[in-house]
Amino acid sequence: MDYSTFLNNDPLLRAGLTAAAVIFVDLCALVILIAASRERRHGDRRWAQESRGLMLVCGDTAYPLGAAEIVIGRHPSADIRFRDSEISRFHAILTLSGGSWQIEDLSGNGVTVNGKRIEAPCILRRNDVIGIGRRKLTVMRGKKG
Amino acid sequence: MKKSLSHPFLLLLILIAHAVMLLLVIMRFGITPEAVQLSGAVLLFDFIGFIFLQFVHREACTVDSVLLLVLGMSTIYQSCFGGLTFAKKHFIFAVSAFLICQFTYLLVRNPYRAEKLKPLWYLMFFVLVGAIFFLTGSRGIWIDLGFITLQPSEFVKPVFVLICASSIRTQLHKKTVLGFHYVPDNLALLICTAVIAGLQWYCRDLGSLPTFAAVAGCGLLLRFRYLREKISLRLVIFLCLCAAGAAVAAWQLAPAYVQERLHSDIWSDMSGSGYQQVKALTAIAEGGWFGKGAGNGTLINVAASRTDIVFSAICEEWGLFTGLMTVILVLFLPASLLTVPPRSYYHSGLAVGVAAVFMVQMTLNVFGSCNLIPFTGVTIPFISQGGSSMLSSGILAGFLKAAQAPVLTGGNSAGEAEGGR
Repeated sequence: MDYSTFLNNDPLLRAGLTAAAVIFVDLCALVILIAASRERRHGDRRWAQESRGLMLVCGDTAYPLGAAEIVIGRHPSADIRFRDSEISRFHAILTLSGGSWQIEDLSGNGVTVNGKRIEAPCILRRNDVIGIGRRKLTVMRGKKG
Repeated sequence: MKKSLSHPFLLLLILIAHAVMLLLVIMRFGITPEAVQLSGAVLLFDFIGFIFLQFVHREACTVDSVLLLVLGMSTIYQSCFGGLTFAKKHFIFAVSAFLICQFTYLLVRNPYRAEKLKPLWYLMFFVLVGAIFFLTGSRGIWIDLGFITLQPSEFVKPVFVLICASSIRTQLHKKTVLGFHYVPDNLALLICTAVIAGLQWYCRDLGSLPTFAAVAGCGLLLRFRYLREKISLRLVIFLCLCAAGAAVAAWQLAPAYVQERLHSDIWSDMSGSGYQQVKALTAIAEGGWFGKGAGNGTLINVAASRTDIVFSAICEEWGLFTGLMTVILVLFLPASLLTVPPRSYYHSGLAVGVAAVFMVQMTLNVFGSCNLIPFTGVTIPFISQGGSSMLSSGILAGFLKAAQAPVLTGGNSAGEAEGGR
């Protein structure tokens, strides 16, 4: 069957069909956007499960652990920043691996966990108290994701 | 909790969108063997992709869905330019790009492991650079293997993105020589950037230079890690001055043919140096909103119509609406990171590098077609013809997937960690 003459002689039909194709592609784009927002919620839930929904609490302030690497220090780019002079620019790093968080002293200026100074990377558990300078950070469970 | 996602409605919609486009083709050309081959290939690819995403792998579906949609559209466009011929080679590369995306995802989904493989990325970089220097002939960018021609500079892009990405730990590893503190990884990146810039200049492949510059710039900016809290004004001013100085130097030192392109008026030499651009602009204008119809374009007679000026070719046959929609769809890939942000610094670096490649290439190609800048010979990812570009884009899409669905294991050793208390 050859519709070519028919289609070529009717620019309105051609435009209509092209518009239909564009509309379907637009619809796809719209649904992709919806799927992406659904994927975001899924990603947040997945992260909450993987990171055990933990956060650090220092006094009245809570610091959610939203990435696999969290730097604590005085530097402006540190994820958790304290301006205390006894805290190094990059003092400690928290790393998520295999579903558990660990803390490592980057500066050698001292990090304690439950009052004991750590010499090597140390796995963190709920209610552990991290000491950095004069700050005390408690590992707590955040809101359920 | 649901373990994974599925989007059957979306995948069905992709199938329908392709089917409507194919209906247009069939109504234009009739049910010819070429039309049957094209329809069968595109719809079968959609169906297999549907099965794969629905039942085998259900992570980072946004990237896979956009890929399925764009690759099918791209095969239809390439098959219809100037008449219907099933673009078999393009289709094979499109399927390969989808597969290589999945493979790359598996390779780099663990940021800790990908970071440990960095020496391998450096090795690959220098092997590819060596291949460009020694195997492409005198100041060329192609390697002719007889049955296929490869453009190794395309494969340098994903490797360079891998090199640009860096973790915090790597950045904190500093060394001191003669009183100067430096991060070995940053020094290596600067050396690689200088090598690739020098090589692109030597090979007269200046069109790709902005892409590499953008990736290196983004990689270096992320390494300063000022983005989370604040960007130092002094740093921004310094970087802007450096960029402006580099742009002025490049403008002054550019080879004669580039100078000519920068200063020429295409309308005063329509049959000479301005021929391609005049034809490209005319094609967009002739296409109007809904195009002349698949296969009715005349831009096919102009050199590089399937690659460098593919945007104009699409606008001519399918209309400006479809052309713009195609561009927006490809930009959906890096934009998907806004919805699912990466969880590690290494993956952030990868994602920003990929976004830089896609954005710069797209801008250079579309702006070149619209005569806003001179032609650069850069392709639109996944749309332009060319196996090297297609495969390289597939690898880059795999990085985006990895950033969206990471696997975070192997970053520490439990025994060592326990002993630390």
